[in-house]
Amino acid sequence: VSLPVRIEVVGEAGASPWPECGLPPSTRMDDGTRRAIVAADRALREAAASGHRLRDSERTLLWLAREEGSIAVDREYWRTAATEGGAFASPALFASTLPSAAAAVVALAFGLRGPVLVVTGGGTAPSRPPRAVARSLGADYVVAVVIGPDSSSASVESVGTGEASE
Amino acid sequence: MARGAQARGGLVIRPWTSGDLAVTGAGSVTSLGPGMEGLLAGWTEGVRAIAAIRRFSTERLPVHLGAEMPDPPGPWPDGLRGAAHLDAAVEEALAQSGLSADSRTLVLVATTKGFLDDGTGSEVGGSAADPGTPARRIGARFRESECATVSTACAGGTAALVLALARADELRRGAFDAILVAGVDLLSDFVYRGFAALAAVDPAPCRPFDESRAGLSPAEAAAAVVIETAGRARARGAVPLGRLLGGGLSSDAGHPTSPDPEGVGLARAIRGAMARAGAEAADLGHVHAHGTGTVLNDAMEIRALHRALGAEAADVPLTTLKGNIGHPFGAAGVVEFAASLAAVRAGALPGIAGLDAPLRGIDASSRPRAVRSGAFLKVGAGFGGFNAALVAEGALP
Repeated sequence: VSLPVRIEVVGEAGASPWPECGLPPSTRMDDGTRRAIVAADRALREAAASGHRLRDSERTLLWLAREEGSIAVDREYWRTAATEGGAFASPALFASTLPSAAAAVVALAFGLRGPVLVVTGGGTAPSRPPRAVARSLGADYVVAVVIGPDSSSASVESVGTGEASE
Repeated sequence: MARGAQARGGLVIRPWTSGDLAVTGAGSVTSLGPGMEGLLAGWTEGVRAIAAIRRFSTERLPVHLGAEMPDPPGPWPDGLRGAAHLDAAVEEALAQSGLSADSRTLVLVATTKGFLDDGTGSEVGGSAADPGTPARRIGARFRESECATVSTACAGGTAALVLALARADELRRGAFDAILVAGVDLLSDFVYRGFAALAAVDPAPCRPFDESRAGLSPAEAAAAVVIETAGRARARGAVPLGRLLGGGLSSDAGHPTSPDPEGVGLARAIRGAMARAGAEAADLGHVHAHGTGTVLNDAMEIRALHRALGAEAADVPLTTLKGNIGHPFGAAGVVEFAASLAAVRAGALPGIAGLDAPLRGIDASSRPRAVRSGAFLKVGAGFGGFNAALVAEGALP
């Protein structure tokens, strides 16, 4: 196996075994994010098997693209916020209405402490960054996650040597 | 200490080169009104444009204040209030820069909820709430454009500026003529109820970095800056307002929503930005903090500054615009960056509105002070532990 590796998970994330990662399977997240965790775990394992284990989580760029934003969670949250003038709005669901919520969960699951960029919006969410972007931010690897309405994918790419360690 | 040539009246981090990323135009609409001139005047005078919300009812909520933009003249494009505000900010920036519609432009827009503007639910899931709508709208102004929407929560505005720096080579080799970085978010019923549910809203106007701070003031804003290489700007006769020098991003990876209270991740982003800029703490004329006014954020930010800059962090003048215009979420980084450029150009650094008893470890004031150097650090942080830092240098008067 050589880089980049790309894994796609289609359909119900619950059908896939939950990976060993920094989050328990009971963690609240939408289905697209759940699929993304499963895909990222497999992609990281395949990359490691090919000799590309991420040695420094601070030098890994997490790029997360989500075309449809957070529409499903938006609707779920609004159901809690629309009654009683908002007196019962769910704070947990509100936090999940940020399109970046998925990136926070992926970063937490795999301990990714490097640069994170979240791109969203129909037609304005490139599935991976230009290599120069990763290198200029001091990254050696890119973990690119794409969350779509019915599938999520994750890829791991080596971008060569970034800047010297700070 | 600073290296390189002496600028008029202050230090420069290094001499300008033709490949530097110059800012040639800036525009904004905030609760202080439309235009950069009004923004700087209101910031300098300490105007608190945070008041009882007019556009939706807060009757059943425990908090009632926010920072709303004055309604733009109608009719609004596609019926979208946010589009009218964003258009105004972009047009101000383009007019100042002189960038033509024929330019090949990379458009980077920071937003969390796009033009989402109501509390009826009718827009939830619709095109107004598509975060890509603002970027596509700006991109359509240009003959040729590439658009991307940066949604890294409240760090998004600063992150979009860092992304512009990271794509500098594309400008230098002529793939684009310019990069337009914008930020927009509206104060909707949808968002306000959420922050109220999180108990994150100060019942009074926010008081960033004050001992008595009790939360943020939700707000809305639109802002834009035009960026091009200094060489191209010079050839066009455009006047640089400043330049971008170095950026850093990081993730706390510690909690799904809360920041690391020790500021370790933010410090890493700041160190990255300082190193890439070739800057040291003594070079900085000011820090434009994220400064939301929440108990956790402001304390975390001070710790991060000390981790990254050392003891000298306490001697760098620190300010934020949020005491005047509240927290406009994804737009915050862009409008605050533009405001810092304007302040440097005016030669006076406005203070923090609402500051009475500053927290320890910072050099903050409620009053304007003379600008000691054009270089500044812009910091951003967001839900999910996302951090962004940018070192830039404004053109001195």
